[in-house]
Formats: sequence, C-alpha cells, structure tokens
Amino acid sequence: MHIPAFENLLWGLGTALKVLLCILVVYRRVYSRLPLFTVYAVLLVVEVIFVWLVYRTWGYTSGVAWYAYWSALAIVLLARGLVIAELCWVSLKNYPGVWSLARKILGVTATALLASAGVSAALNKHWIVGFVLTTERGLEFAASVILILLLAVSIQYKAWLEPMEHSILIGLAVYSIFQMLNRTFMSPLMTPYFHWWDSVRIACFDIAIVTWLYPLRRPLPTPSAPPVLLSEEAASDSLHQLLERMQELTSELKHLRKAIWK
Amino acid sequence: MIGFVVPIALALALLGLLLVLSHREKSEKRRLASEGYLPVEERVPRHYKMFTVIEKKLWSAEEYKRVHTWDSTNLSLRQTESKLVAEYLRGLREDFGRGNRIFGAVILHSPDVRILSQLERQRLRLRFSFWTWYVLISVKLRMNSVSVRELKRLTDVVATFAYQIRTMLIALEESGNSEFVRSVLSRS
Repeated sequence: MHIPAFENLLWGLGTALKVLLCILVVYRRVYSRLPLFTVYAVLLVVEVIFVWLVYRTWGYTSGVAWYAYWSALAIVLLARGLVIAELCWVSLKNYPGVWSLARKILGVTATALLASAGVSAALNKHWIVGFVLTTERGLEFAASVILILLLAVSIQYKAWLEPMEHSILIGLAVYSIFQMLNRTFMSPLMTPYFHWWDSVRIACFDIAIVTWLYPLRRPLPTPSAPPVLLSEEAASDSLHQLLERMQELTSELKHLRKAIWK
Repeated sequence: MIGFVVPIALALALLGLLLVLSHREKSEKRRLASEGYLPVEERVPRHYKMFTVIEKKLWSAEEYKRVHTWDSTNLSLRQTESKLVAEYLRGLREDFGRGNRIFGAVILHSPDVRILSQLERQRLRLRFSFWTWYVLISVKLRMNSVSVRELKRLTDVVATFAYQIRTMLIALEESGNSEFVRSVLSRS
C-alpha cells in the first residue's frame, strides 16, 4: 500500500514529537503530579514502536498486524480516558462538593459509554473493531464535553488550572473535537471529496502534542498553594445560613415581580 | 445527510464554546491581575448605595412634571439624566457581578454536593431574576424612560444580595476564618 510522502513526513514528525514529549515528561518529573498522563505519554511511544515492529515482522496486511493495531488503539484510548479523569481529579480534588458532583457525572458517562461500546461489539462481526470504534466515537464526544465543562467550572469558580494541566486540557479538547470531525470526513462516502483530510487527522494530534510540549520547555512552576479551606463544620453552618437567606431573597424577588406587573 | 451535518455542527459548536471560554478565562485573569491593588472595600458591591443620590437628581430634574405617584410614573428622561441612570445601572450590574463572584468563591468550598446544588439553584434563580429586570429597565432606558419604582426594586435586590454576602463574610471572619475571607475576596 502506497502512503503519500507528505503523510509519511507527518507520521515521522508525530513520532519525533511523541518521543520528545515522553522524554520531557520524565525529565520535568510530571509523573509526581500527573502519573496517568506520564503513562499515557510513554504508551504513545510504545504504541508506535510496537505497531511498527509488528508491521515489519508480519506485514501490514497480516491478521496479527490487524489485531495488534486495534489492541494498541484500545489501550491508548483507555489511557486517554484515564488522563481526562485524572485531570478532573487533580483540578477539583480540593473542592469536595464540586468533585463529588463531577465524579458522579464522570461515572455515569463512562458507564453509558462502555455499555454502548459493549452492545456495538456484540453486534459487530469483528468485536474488537466495534468496541474500539464505538468507544472512540463516544469518548471523543464525552471527552470534549467533559473537558469544556471542566474549563467552564474552573472559570466560574476561579479554580484556575496549573499551566501544565491547562495545556493538557486544551490539547485533548481540540484533538477530541477534531476526531469527531474525522469520523465524518473519513467515512467511505466523504473520503473521495476530502482525501486531504487524512493529513489533517494526523496533523491535529501533532498540534495537541505541541500544546503539551509548550509548558514543558521550562521547569514547571511549583503548584500554587492549595486554597484556604473552611472547617467542615463552619462551612456547613455558614452555607446553610446562606442558603436560607438566598431562599428568602428569591421569594422576595417573586413578590417584586408580582408587584411590578400589577 | 443528517448523519453528516449533526456531528459537524456539534463539533463546530464545541470548538466555538472552547474559544469563547478560553477568551473569557484570559479576560477574567487580566481583570483579577488589574484589581490586585484594590482595597477590600472596593472588592464588595458598593454602587447600589448611590440610589438616593440618583433619585434626588431625577427628582430635581423632573420637577416640572412631578406627580403624586412619583414612584410608579414612567419618567421621560433628558440626555443628561438618561446617562446618569445608565451609569448607575452599569454600577448595579458590576455590584451584582461582584456579589455573584464572591458567592461562587464561597460555595466552592461546600463540603457536600447536596448543599452545593441547592445553593447553585438559588444562584441561578437570582441571576435569572436580576438579568430579567436589568434587561427590562435597560430597554426602557434606551427609549429614554425609567420608572423609579422599578429602579428602586432592582437596587433593593442588589442591596439585599450585597447585605447577605457582607453578613456571611463578617460571620466567617468573626468565627476565625479571616484568612479564608481574604482569599475569597482576592479571588473574586
């Protein structure tokens, strides 16, 4: 099978970026803050080497290569899902109420995703293809929504993300959104009209890696001190009082509305 | 066809949302950095206290057509008064925004999800009411008209909200959480 020179170049560039990311992640000790992201960065390189070795040994069209490709993709996909969960945990762990809400949303989303992937796998002749494709489709959508929600929450509550976490969020969100488009443009019906999209597909992951590499060019700043917290008792008391007052204010507003419309 | 259009539209909408949020994040960070030097008194709602001054000015400007039902009359404003009220409205919006941000920073520390969701629900209701009245009064103001009663009611909403926030902060400060209060004010 012939691969265009430009795509070969992009593939080479992507591999170089993955290796560089892996080296910098270890060198900058990202593993102490984001262990799952470190595993993901290492897996990206391992995946390339593993698939390349299999293609070289058994050939691109062999059955072994087919299983190797889909298995590697499934593992990397799972790791990406875990990175998103880790990102949510690292960003919200200091806020028990918000984290508890986020955990529920993540749990429901992951269960729904795996259930739909399971059904799709059962219906597909090649179960692994059905499982990986459905999980990927669902993951891209769920990932982009969750990451955008996380960004919205951080802005709403001024719970700012650290530079590395922020870059990971932006890179993953942009990549997931592009992957949603990929699924459409790479379908058999659309490919003849958008044959150049394959290059876009490869390039968009390279862009995500460059986004992650950017904060790693210098030593990572020490994470900002955890927020000053109220004691659980004080927080509970004052928030209950606040809730009562807010309820009074809301009912006052109702009266105001009636009074003005009279 | 729908199979192609829906994912594309969805992806573009998400990309747009991501861009809008990134822009908002940058502007919020810039605002916080520029307000770093502000004294604490200016970090809490304060414009609503100007209501009596505004009312007095409207009273003297509209002297020629004062009626018994001053409160409920829709006043037709001249440009000077209209500008004055518009500026006051902007101040009220800023007050509400400040109060809302302090409120957000405090409820972020909610220890359990139940009270957090109840507080968020109240906040949404309050925001909805404030913005409804704010837009209504702004639209009327564009037509150079204002009702003192409506303006007074909106001021009452902001003043009560500001009072609740202030009371809560004082209570927290008195219970030995002054560092927490300072951190909340500097982050909102």
